[in-house]
Amino acid sequence: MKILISPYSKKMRNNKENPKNFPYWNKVVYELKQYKNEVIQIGLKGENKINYVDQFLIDLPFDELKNIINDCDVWVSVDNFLPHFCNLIGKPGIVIFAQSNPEIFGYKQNVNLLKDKKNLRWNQFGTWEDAEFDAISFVDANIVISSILNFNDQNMV
Amino acid sequence: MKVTATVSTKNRYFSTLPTCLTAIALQTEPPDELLIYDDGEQKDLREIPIYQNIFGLLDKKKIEWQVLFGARNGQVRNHQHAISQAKHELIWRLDDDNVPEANVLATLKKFFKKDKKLGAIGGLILFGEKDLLPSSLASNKMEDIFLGLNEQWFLPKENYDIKHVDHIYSSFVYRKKAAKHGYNKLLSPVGHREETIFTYEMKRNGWNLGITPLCITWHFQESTGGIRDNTRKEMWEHDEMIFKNFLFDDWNIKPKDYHFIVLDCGLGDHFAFKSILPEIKEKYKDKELVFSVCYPEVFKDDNIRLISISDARLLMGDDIDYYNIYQFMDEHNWKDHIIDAFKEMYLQS
Repeated sequence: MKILISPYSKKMRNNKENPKNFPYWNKVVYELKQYKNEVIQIGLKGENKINYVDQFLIDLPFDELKNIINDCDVWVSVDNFLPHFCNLIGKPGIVIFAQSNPEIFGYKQNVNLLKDKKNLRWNQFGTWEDAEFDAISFVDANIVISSILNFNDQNMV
Repeated sequence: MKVTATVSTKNRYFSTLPTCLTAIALQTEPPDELLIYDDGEQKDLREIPIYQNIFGLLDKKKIEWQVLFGARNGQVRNHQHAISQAKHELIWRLDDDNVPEANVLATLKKFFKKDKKLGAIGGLILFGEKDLLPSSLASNKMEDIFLGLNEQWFLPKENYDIKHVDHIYSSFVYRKKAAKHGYNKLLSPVGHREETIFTYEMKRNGWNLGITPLCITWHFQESTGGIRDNTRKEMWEHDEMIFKNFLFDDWNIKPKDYHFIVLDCGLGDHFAFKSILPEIKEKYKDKELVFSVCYPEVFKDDNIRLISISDARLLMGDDIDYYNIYQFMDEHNWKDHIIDAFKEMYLQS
């Protein structure tokens, strides 16, 4: 499979870890590579490269991004711009949520991975600088891996 | 080319008027004549030490000056009088709280030599107490008049020598023979929109109008005194009505009807909004859409006029917060999708 990942949300003004950033990407990508998958990371200049990815594409124009997404079997992201972009181009994927509510910010055509509603922050519309990063609020890496590997099957059902 | 400068003043003897007159005297190419129209207490300024210095400076600069006591009927009458009184072919009009930088007159004069059909030209008019910003929305086209954003108030986004416009604001130099139509005598002593009517009529008579960012006049906006002191709200409304009569009936201008969308939010929110763009375009098909955005590249192929958030803030002030989608969702205890919030905000009203 060709898999595109968008692992980070926007950097915060207080330089703290964005509470939307999934903390287990290295493990996810490592496991995906064991199954001979091709993994392409997209992001912005200044973001960290996830270990073992085949390509790290930075600051892509939207036209190019659209082509790359359409060329992939599945995309996976945190709650950032990508699900909204992919909704526009009609390409479903997988979104890892934690504290933001997929009923407000997610899309039904995607696989929205939310560990537990009790982790949703009480003020869904406040600034993220007011929230704290909490690794426990995310689903386990294995759930992400199995969602990716089973994605095409799920989508064909 | 010789120039008569004119200043219409009212009771700013000890605030901005001395600064204005001194700046005129210290031009790299000073005017040949200066007419000061006093609509205030009409003091004998020759007896006041600061003016003794200023008048002495004018003499040394070989600027022939006169203080004329106005009829206290407002600046329009004074400006009209100046047209008949001025000895020279170019007239430089200034307000008594204008402070032209030293190159203003020399810069503006040059354009008249290059273009025989140039009727009037003004430089930037910037405000000392405000931030200096560019604006991609400001316009001196008559169809944009109700935007209330004059290009002369902002730093240019891109450099240019001269831009042809429909009207000019505040202080400018004009050709006397292009002013045969005169100032509008129906206006009240406030003279609201007087220079807009005056300069646009000039254009309608076949003259070119221009603005240039190559010189700056500072507008100090002194809060006391001034030619519009002691005027009433009804006078402003009266003048606005006269202006609209010209605009709609005489000039047959159809001002643009703008609809503003403000996306002071994240990149993803821009894409979420973009999913309802066809419905937005349909609903506002009779208006010109202006999007104030953080990520203009999202709409680069959508044939939408794009401006910055700072542009929108200039226009709307604190009202811009009304368009904050997160504040909207918070205030409405929103439980549905963000796209539905955008629909509620922009399609239901």
